[in-house]
Amino acid sequence: MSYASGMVDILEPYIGRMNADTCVRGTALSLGKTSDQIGPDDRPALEASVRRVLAPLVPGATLTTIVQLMGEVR
Amino acid sequence: MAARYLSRRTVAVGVIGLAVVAAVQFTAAALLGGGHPILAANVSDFGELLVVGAAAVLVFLTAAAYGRGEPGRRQWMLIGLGVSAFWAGEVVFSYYDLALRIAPPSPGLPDAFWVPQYPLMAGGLILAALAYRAFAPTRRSLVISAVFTVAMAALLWVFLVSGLLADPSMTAGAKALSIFYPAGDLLLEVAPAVFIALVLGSFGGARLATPWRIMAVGIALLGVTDSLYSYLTQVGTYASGSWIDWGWPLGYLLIGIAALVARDAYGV
Repeated sequence: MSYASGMVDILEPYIGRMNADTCVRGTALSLGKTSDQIGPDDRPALEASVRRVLAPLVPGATLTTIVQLMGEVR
Repeated sequence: MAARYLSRRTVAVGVIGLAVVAAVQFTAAALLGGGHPILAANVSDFGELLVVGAAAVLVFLTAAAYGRGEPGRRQWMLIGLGVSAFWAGEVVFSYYDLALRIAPPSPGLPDAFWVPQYPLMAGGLILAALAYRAFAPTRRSLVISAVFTVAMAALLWVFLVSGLLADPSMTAGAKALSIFYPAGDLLLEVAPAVFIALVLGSFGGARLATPWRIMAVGIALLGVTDSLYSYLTQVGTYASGSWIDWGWPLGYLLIGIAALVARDAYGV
């Protein structure tokens, strides 16, 4: 399992497969990479993207939980 | 998949709420059929106050799950204030209806609470929809719901407004309110509900979409019920105890359940 698909798996229950995939792919593109090329070093960028899109939707505690789950992906 | 995160609390409240609504409606209908209209009105009014009041509390509890200043808090607060405004209007109406045994004046004090309900609910739904704009093309959803709104406004004019305007027995204030309510139902409740349902289209069964989908169905149900009530009252075929009376408590029950589902979805 790639790092990107691990991230998508974390986000999917909350925002759906399509949105999760778009979020991860969009972040990878902003870093000049493809989804397959991103790894643990890119976690701060992914975390910032997730915080930006989810902050208007969920309480801060929920966002913290999601970010913690993202941190467990290797 | 969608239901896996639902708590027992939410399921229990949903089942109990539905049982309460059914018990109130069947009891009121039976009392009405048995020649006890005042008792039927008591049961119906108190049942509705219970359901609407509970819905308001649940929505405020969900708003409280957000920290102060967090953007998601505003939409839940607006919906909660809208539900509370309706509840306050119902309290005043019931006081006239049950305690004073007179019809409340129209326009009157209940309207001072019922009217603000519309912009509050619409504001909550629209803010919620806009919060999802990072994921969805809101412009397309806006255009589709605008087309829907224009079509609904045309139907409203043909079936209701033109008849009300031509009615010489109504005062200008009563006419304005009689037009505002059905217009508010369709333009400030049903149309925003359609807007948010369209915005959430890309979410599939994802948990962050479910609460607002249930909310949209609840608010749309209120709008449709109110519109049908206005139309049937105007053509003189509405009678207390009819199936339409289920629409209001079910709509508010759905709003309350939406708030509980949101807490489950957020894990708070």
